[in-house]
Amino acid sequence: MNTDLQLVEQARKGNLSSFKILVEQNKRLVYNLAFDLTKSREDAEDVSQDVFVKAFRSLDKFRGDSKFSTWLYRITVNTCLSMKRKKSYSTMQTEEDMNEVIAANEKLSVKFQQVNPERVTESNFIKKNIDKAMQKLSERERTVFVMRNFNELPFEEIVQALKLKAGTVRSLNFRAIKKLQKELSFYNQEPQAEGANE
Amino acid sequence: MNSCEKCNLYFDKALYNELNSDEEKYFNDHLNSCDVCAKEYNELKSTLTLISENHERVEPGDIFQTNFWNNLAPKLEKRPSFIDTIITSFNEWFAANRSLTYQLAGGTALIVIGIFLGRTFFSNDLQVNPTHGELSQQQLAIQASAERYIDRSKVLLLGMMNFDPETDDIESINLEQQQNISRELLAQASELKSDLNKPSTQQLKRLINDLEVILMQIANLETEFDLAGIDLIQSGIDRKGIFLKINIQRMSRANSNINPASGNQVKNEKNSI
Ligand SMILES: [Zn+2]
Repeated sequence: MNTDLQLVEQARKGNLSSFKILVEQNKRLVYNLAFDLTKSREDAEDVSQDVFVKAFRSLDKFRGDSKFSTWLYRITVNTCLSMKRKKSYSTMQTEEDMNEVIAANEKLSVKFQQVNPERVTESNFIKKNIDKAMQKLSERERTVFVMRNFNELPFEEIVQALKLKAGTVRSLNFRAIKKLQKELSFYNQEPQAEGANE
Repeated sequence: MNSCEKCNLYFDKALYNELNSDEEKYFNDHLNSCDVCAKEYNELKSTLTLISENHERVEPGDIFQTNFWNNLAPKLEKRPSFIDTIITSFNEWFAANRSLTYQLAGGTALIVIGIFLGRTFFSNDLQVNPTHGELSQQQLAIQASAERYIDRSKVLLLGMMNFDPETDDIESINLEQQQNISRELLAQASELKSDLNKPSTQQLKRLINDLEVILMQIANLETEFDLAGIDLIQSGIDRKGIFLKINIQRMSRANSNINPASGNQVKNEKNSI
């Protein structure tokens, strides 16, 4: 059984089939993170390709002091950030990408709709509001939040990937949760609102 | 710290079930007795639950599953050649290799206009004024410390320009050390500027002013993860033409070295090179 480091060393010497193993093992992890950060399937696929090209050209920089996937997360985050900067992402986020999110959600909810039709629109509405609330976070808050809560990476791995201090990662994540709570406070009041009608 | 504040500090760990048994007991006891904290915590927890429950993995397209490697492999084998890159994407290349571009452009510019500019632009800076004979000891000391200052800044700035935040490890930039050097240089700047009080040294003073702005930005960077900050610094160095100015300054220094009116100390320095 080859370890990541062994595969990296073989790839460094030009062994593409070793690198292919690393790619196949990690491409979904990279894609998932890239999708959560860009909210666009197309961008996530482009980023995934870029990440592995960059990783391949920078294999010398991987020293094995973290997992290979952790190293890829760093490249993924940075590639997404620079892609956003290049596209001035924030201005186009609202329309083009939101539509894609909605389209994706609709596609996914077709099955669900057959079972539970009246809840589908409500669920789409919630998702849209969550996406909107996520946009209120700073880049760093969103990145840490996504890594911890969507990709379920332990805090230590985020610390390694982003080369931030442990306390910083934790407080960025907590700050993100607090901001999101404020943005989405509507949902916390729902039970009371129902009661008030009686 | 009152009990609510202490309880609040546990929120973050509690959300991820990371409290140890003592902390957990304290936390639960407090929530049972304090409606304010209980409400606040429950709202955070249900927000997190709401978001997690509504988060979906979006599957990539079929091509991702079947053709990812086939699409990737050609990009790995073909390393971009110099000509290719310039033709296909000069802007991309410029962004990624800013320092190299800079050296090439700066080098060319220097060959063409450097000597001319050097003579006019900085002609009076820290040069021996023939009517006054040799520089005084004090002026020589100021000159030496200004040169050291600029050299150290240049090394620091080159490090910043060469740093590629996308793939480089923080070890390769050692931001903490860079920031310490920046702060050290910033601390020296005001004294140096007040020493550079002669009309002939105003150009040099402006260069140190420019450097000060950039050093301040480096010192204020929160982390190397602050890509926008690093980008701002890198483009600031570009925009202000710092390296060109440093090179011109250095050339005017070299010019003054071969100036027959130069003092002995300067000549000695030249002989030793
Ligand atoms: Zn309390």
